[in-house]
Amino acid sequence: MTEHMDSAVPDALVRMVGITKNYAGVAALKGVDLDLRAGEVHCLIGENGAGKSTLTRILTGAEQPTQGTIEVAGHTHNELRPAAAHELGISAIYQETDLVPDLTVWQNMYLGHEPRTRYGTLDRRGMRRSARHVLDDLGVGLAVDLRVADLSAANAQLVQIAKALTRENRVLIMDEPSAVLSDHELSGLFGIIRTLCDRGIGIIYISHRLDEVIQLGDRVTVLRDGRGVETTEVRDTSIPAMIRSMVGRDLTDQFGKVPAARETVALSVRGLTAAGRFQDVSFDVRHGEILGIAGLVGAGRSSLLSGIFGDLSPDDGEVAVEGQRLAGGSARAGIAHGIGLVPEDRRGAGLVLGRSVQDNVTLPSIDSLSWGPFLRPGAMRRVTRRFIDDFAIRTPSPAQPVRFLSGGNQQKVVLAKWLARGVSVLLLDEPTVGVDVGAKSEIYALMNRLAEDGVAIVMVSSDLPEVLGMSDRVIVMSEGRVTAELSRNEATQEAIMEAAVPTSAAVA
Amino acid sequence: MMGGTTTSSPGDQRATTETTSGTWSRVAGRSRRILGEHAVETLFVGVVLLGFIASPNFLTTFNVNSILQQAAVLGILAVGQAVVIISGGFDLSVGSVVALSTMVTASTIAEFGLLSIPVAVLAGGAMGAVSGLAVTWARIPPFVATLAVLGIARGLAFTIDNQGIVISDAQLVAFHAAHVGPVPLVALVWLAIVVLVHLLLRFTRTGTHWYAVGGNLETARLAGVPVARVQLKAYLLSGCLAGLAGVLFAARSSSGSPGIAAGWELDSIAVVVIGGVSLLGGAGNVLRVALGVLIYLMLANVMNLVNVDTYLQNVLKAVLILSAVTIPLFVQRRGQARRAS
Repeated sequence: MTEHMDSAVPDALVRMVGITKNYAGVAALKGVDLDLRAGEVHCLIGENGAGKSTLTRILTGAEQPTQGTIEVAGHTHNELRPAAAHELGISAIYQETDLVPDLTVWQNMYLGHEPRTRYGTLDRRGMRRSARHVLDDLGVGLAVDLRVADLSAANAQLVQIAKALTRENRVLIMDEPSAVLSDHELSGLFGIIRTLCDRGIGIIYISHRLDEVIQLGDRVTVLRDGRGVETTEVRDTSIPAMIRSMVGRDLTDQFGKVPAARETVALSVRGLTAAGRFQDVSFDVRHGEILGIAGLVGAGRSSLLSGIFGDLSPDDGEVAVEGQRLAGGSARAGIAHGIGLVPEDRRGAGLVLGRSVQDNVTLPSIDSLSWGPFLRPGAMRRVTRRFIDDFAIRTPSPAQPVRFLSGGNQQKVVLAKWLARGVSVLLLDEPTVGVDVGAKSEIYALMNRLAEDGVAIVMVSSDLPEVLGMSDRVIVMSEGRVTAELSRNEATQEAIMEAAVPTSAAVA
Repeated sequence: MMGGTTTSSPGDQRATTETTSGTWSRVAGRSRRILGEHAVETLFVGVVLLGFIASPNFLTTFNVNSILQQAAVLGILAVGQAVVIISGGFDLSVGSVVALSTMVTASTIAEFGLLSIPVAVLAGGAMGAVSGLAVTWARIPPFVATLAVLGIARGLAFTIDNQGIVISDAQLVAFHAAHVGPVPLVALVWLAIVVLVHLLLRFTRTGTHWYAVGGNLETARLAGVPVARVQLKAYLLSGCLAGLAGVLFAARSSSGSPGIAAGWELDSIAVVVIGGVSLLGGAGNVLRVALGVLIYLMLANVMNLVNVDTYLQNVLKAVLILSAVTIPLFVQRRGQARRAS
């Protein structure tokens, strides 16, 4: 609802209007508008899960919108398919490169649209020559015969850009291109981006680094919870203003935080290290305390939870629950010590989707619900019933496969399965991802109740208001290290963002 | 002329199409449910009717008993195969293990008498243990691990005697010939195993673990399920049951034959699939697998009764397997598409 009104802009390459996307009833995008002019860098920013990727995937045809239209070069489409998007000159460059490692640079650049000679054979010489030409135009001095596997991450990224330019592309989407680049390479990339803009190519640039937005962008669109919050000229905004629109939801009390921390320590982590994932992490969590772990995706937060749980064997350091040191090395170790893990990938690691609510709820506690090798169906039914009632899990029956529950109810099942076992430490990884607003507050209420019962909770979350609203204490991680520890009073969105964002010295 | 007719008819046509499509979609919806939830039962009834119509010899005591005796051997194999597939693996060794088991039975029965039955079952169990350890401990993919055991078991069978051994033990032969009322005893043995394993799957911790590990190994692991032990048990059971199937086969043919049952691993997988077990693991029911066995054998039987060419029979069986896999998938996809829209 922000900007598409001024449709007088003549040179819009792409205009997405009212884009809505639902996944199994959960809205990932709610009526987002986005237009891209020729020769501009249009930055797309937002918290993790705000809908940036979904929006760009719709533009490249990887996903189809539930509602809304996409106007390209004066034609209006209800959806694009990948082939159609290619036709229209829309191309995306993702973080994980989609290059074939064993092929050479030029082979990759022409993969899928190899020119032929008049005999119908591949025009190898022509491809090498024009590949060379494209790279030279970009000012990239890279031998076209190198295997991509032998390139650095930065060069691979440049090859991706060059690959996109071998087609008649008008629109380029860059998803966090700076993530793998050093400062020097970054300034090179910026130069290339400007060259492309001068040729009239429109660029959608996704980044977490707001300093890059200021430096590179012409306009910026902020997404939050699947809505377009605002589109402004970059020169009219600032980093604090952008942060405010990214996170600035009213902190009306959907959290209902009740401080319940006691004196006794439940979980203590000392110098925990897993090479390449997290480094020297130490903290204590008391009974009834909720410790929030904030940071960007890839900061090592999920691995840290696996390390505490015992599923990932740390290289160094130790974890103790109620003063008892964990052996580590398997999930069974953590479970035996009374730790429960609610993983981020609920469907892939938290639930057995094809099985019933009852089977899922009772899975970790099945030993206590058995008599020798035999299940006690009565006891299993009672436990399941109790949690369905207690947690208000909306399911037609305990026998319903969890596949058919909503995200929020699925998450309650995952919580129930640990509480049915009885845990003293609960590790939550993005506990409300893919959960609608109503169910979110129910999950917050459950967390508060557990804390009051003395459960120590460690919550990894990329949802800043959630971190601020629920945590008694916040630690911030960046690139595997703890960069800040903030009390509930000290923790603000700005303070967390500041500690979370890796600084790119290219700007300085 | 055209102008005159077009003024009135489109609306009418649309109205009629809408009503018929409404009724049609209701019928389609209902049959989709039946096909989706009771595909196996529907198919079973269909094949029985087909046989009844096709040949007067189909529903005779003699013919039915002959089907049941075949079903006992294949059916026992299929129960083990179903458990392995439900737990997320599969077992290519079962055919060879049957052959090995006939040889163990034949070579020990003169000395041990009926004690050779548990010996043969344990030999099968040992093969299952090898598969299970290869999969869980050495982390070899089930396809490769059980393919290796297929070779090992077959090789051992030929090592015992490459000609085969005749069984003259009267008790064993009598056991196979025995009937309870009109029903062959071996068919009851099969039925008992089906029911036992069904109860095992439904009412024991191990059964629940099989479904959990096959349904989502990661979730099961993170929930503290001893995944390796659970998988190992499935292969052990499959091996033991293949051993038992071998004993029954030895009794039926009064001999141990190192070369028999080649390709039965595929038949066992086929009937498991026809019985509605998901090849992806985590879902399935051995009662339906029993029906799948009967469907498969009845179809072959009907084709024999009406003299369908043997080679063509193979084609038709393969078509049956393919449809058994694809039809439920299509039904499911259609169902999901409808829910999503």
